[in-house]
Amino acid sequence: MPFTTQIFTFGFFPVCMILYYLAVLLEKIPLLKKCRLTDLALIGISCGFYMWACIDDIVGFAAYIVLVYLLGLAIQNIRKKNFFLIAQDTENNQKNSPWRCRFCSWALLRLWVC
Amino acid sequence: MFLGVAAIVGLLIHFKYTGLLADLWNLLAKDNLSGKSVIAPLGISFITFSAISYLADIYMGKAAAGNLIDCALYMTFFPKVVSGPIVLWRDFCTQTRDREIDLTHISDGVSRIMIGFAKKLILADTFGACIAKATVVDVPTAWLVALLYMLQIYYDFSGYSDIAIGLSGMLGFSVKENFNFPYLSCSITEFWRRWHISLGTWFREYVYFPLGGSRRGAKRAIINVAIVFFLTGVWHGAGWTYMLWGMINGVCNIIEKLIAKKTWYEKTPKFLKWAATMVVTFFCWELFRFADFSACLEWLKTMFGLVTFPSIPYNWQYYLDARMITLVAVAILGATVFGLPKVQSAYKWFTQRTWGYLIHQILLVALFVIAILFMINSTYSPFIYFQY
Repeated sequence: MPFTTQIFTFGFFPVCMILYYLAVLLEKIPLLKKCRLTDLALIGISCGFYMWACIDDIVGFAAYIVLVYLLGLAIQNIRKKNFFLIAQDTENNQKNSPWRCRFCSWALLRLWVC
Repeated sequence: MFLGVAAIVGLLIHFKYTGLLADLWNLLAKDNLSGKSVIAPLGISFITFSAISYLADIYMGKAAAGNLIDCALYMTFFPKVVSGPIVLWRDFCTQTRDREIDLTHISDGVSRIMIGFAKKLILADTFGACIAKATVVDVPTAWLVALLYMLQIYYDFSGYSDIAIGLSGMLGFSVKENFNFPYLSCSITEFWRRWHISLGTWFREYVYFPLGGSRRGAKRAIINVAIVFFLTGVWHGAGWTYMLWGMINGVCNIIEKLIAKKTWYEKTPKFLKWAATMVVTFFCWELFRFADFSACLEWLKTMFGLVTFPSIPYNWQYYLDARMITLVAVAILGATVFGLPKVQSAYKWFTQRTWGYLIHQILLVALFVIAILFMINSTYSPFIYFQY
């Protein structure tokens, strides 16, 4: 959806701002503070924006984001020089790395070996 | 890291460059391979660059990996997802948790969006509609259309960037400037520091510096510049004209590096350097405008009177009416004189006064209303950079 269209200017933009500022207000409630409502609202709005142009691509785009996220975790893990040790599941690494990093690295290593 | 980047770039090549690679293969091997045309997802080039920035920044230790929400927010952030500006992960990651939303940010954002709308709808779209109409033309019209395209591409993309920066500001994000009056540049090197700044920054951080930059001697620096500009051309599109456009810019950049310290170059008046830069840029945009060489060559021939048409529906006077003259004058002044340091400081002085600020805001609202009227009445509104 181009920014300079009527649908964006009079439809998407006001709705997006209302939703976002509503999320900002809701986030001020202590109970909801950790939910990251504004970020979730923004991701939802952004997906809507992208889907407007190409609804077919949204699933692929979501998979792409997950791939980038996993690769990012794996790279961070490699940087910590843990990658291969984690794959071997040594006790030492279990203490140092968060579980999700270990799982992602293991999954990527498996994919790579296959 | 390299496997990850290879996977991401592989996807980009699959979607965007299969046809070009098949052409290249056919040319070299005299084969008849057909490049399957795959419909590329919207904004694939910008999305790929964001993904590479995410991975490279983690690899280089410039930023830590985010969680899935951070990563999804960075990749999908709607003001920049389709056409940039390309935001680096290292700049974005701090803002995922800690950003300010106050009235100043919101009012600045709104002002910026209004400027963007005016640039895009009043100037760029009017020029674009005129360019689209002018297909069979006389010599003066051919030159006029080339000038209009030079203005259109600037106002189109800088208008889009203004809207994206304004929207980001309203959402509490700070996005760096993407343009800094590129048509004031006195060299191609300077032009690339002022034009599509976020793309230049990306290439500098993730290609030029990792290749060694200028630290490995003059020869290596020249090779690195050539690689960067070749990639810049290829990034813009899977066409030979884009490649040539990138290479011309690269060659000019290298020549400028070689002559920068020569006495005669230093003594050359600034105005001449500016004029030479604008001439190169003017003709380079013609390469950028056409998808294939033959169409570009035909247009250049028309410009120099080497091709004449038996009957021309409208001559230059039809296109250059009073409204168009006014808009072209405003566009030229806005892209050049308005960016001069003295004019900029006068503008800042003016907007810092209460009355000046009020007049400024009233003018912006008036421009925005006119832009909306243009939007309602016009049918032409594609952003040029959407295709990348």
